[in-house]
Amino acid sequence: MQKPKKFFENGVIVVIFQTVAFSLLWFLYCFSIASGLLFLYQLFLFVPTKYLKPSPLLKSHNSKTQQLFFILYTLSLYNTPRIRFLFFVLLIQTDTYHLQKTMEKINTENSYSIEHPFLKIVVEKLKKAVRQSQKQIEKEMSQIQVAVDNLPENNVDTSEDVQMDDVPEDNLIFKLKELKTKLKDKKTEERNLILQLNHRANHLKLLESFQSTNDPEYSTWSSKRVDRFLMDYMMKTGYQTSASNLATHSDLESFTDSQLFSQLINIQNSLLVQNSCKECLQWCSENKAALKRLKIGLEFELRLQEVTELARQRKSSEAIAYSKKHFKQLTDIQKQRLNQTLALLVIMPTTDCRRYKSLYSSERWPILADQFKTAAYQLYGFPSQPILSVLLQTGISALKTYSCTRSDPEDFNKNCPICSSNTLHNMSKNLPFSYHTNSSLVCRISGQKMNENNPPMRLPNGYVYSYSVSIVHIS
Amino acid sequence: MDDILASNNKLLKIHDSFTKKSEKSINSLIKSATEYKSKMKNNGAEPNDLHDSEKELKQSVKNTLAELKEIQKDLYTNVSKLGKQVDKIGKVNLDICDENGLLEEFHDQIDVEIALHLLRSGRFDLAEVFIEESSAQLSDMVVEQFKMLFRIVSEINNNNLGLAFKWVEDNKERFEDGGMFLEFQLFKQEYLTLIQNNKVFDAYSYGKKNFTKFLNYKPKKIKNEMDYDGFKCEEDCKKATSTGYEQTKLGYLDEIRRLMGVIVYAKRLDSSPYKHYFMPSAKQILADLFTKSFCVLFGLPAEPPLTITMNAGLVALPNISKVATLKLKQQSVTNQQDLKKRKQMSDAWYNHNELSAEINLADSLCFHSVFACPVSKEQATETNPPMMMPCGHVICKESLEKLSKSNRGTSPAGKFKCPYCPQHFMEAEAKRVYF
Repeated sequence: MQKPKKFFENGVIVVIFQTVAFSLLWFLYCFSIASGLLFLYQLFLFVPTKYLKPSPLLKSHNSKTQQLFFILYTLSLYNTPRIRFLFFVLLIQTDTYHLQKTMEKINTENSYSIEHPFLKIVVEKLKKAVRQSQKQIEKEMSQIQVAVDNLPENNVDTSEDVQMDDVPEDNLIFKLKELKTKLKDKKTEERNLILQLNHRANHLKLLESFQSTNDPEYSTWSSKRVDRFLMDYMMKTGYQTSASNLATHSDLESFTDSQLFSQLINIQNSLLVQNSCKECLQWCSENKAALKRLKIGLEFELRLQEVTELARQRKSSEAIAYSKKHFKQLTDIQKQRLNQTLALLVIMPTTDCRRYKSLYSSERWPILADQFKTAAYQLYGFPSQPILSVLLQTGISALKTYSCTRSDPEDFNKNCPICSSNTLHNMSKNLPFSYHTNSSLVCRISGQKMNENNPPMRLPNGYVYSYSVSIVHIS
Repeated sequence: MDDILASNNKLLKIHDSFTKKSEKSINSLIKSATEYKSKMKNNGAEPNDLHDSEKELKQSVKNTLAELKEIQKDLYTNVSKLGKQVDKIGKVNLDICDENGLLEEFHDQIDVEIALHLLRSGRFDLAEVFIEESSAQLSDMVVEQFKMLFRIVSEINNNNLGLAFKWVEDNKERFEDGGMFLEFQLFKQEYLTLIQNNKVFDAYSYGKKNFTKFLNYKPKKIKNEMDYDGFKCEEDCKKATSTGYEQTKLGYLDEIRRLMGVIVYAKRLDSSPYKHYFMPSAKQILADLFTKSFCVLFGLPAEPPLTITMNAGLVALPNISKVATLKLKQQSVTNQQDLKKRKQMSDAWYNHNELSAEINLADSLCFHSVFACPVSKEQATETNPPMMMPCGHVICKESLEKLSKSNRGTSPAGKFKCPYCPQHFMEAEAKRVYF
């Protein structure tokens, strides 16, 4: 015997049952309407106990249900010419419903993949730190080597003169001690970064310990995640104080990269506000190798801008000296652009020629700042925009239905972010709608999802509400 | 994640041992340099001896140098190995939906939303700093209201209900039932606290005094019981259900009976059938109730919109990104320039104004009914509304018309067969439904 629950999950049973029931019905109807009606009534009494258990209409035999049933039954009789007995329960395809059940589980893999930049940034910092300490060691060591190499002549030749000899050895020892302290600093920095990564990975791993989204621990974890994304947004848009406050407040100190971001924001501001390339050029020289590896021509752009600035101040000879010093190994395109820029030396900043006017224009600074941002983000492996904005865009799209955009107040749902929040509503205008091939019905009154436990009920006027609401209203 | 943690731990060990090693070798170098120096100072040493120790020193410097270099190289390879492992989890392209520039356009508004979010979660000092820093436009009224709410909630958690009573009193006329429900909850909490503190007689007289006015309270009957047309009282009902008023429909009598019953068990609350009244979560429920009714009064959603949207985004993003990447692969844009590629990436995540992937959101993230026609797989619209056939199956109007056209002649009298069951109907028999 088919179990009651399976009934709704399995469309085939519905079809078979209805085929049998309907053909019997038709047969009897043809013979005698009276006996047919009687049979119907019997069938109705018979069916629910065996097959239709999940149908709440027939689940309990209290007076309310019977009353409701009677009302609907008579109304449907009144409204349509043919007798129908099972049909007010909408048999909308139920496959959407089990999908919903699985959704409650947490998809750790997907969650992790969004956290990639969160770990990546530490790894990049660590890489940079190791590379730096490597360079430092090499530099110091070569100096020590020189110091050692200086030893023999002094020693062997002038072994009598103690005064003179003191210098190289002391120098050597001093250098070694310096190296030791520096190395120690570097190593603690690296160690801290490794511990930070460990901490972050452990925090993410907590996700695996939650059974479902209903876990109370999960909700604290996910609210922490929301805070983390907010903090990320704040850091990237330059609200450093808020970001650090949020970090202290929500216990996220080990998850901030505020130092790095305030550095980046400062450089960006120096380009945008003070119109100076100095800080940015320094940053470029610090990350020369990485920029070269990623083939980012940021330095070239900055140097061009410097030449433009010199031309603006009409310092031709300095500009030429500057370009001689800094432009080496250019590609063809770069050469062309350099030529164009050097032409500025003979063109006044007040020129009307469109080509050169654009080079002189102050619009160049925001472009440079943008290029710097892209370069830096690429270097550290960040996505091009704060994760909050990506999430908002995809989230809005996933939530946006055709009902949200309709002007009909009937469609307004206070709890829907797209309907209730002006910001999100405005943003949603430029974003795509969600895509549905399966239906999902939400009761207008209670806001509950309609499914096999709370099935949709159609009233004679065509409006559909969930069962739980209909029963309350009618009784 | 386990892989990353394991290799990270390994890295930590390696790093520690390397640090020790390099420190040791530098120390020994310093030591030998000092020895050499003292030998030099000590003029009595043989020039040959000096020469030897000098050679030794040179050699050890060279060795240490090589060793340190080796150590650093090793460390770097380990770090980059870890980096690769971290990259493995980053399967999602976070650069989709890039070109829209929405962030710049709505920067101010997002800031306002964040400020509201912070206010709603009760982090006022944070919100203040944020509003100042981002110069988000928020009226002081809103801030004050939220502050009020959080004073109430924190007082409730401290078992101090005076402020809450006052708030209910002040906003009485704005509630559907004149604040009765909230008031009752407050009386109940006070009463239960008295019992919990073993003041049974006080509790009894308190209950007697305060619960009586609820005894005769009959909830307003819903007008026009049989008025199906559009549920005139829908708005009331929405309010009621969202704040947990349903109980009031049955009156307060049952609840008061139960509450008075608690007295019997006053001495052994832990084993009583009423112990759920004394759970710490009960207080939280009351606080939540206040937050919710507050939000209802001010027309705010029950959950912060930002959180909901982000949660939806968290579900949607991986799927969208997957589909977009697949689509890109199909288009095989490999030789294109980076910029162009990115542009296409951002185009690939949607398709004719709809997302290219279906996202199944959790029940709590569904706010509108969506009806997709099971025949055409299209979403229902105003011009293509859902129609229910007499058998109870629902399809969209266009599909219905198509079906009835194509089936004409094959079945008797202009009827067509329902695609899901073996019944036959006329097109005119289908009725419009509203979800």
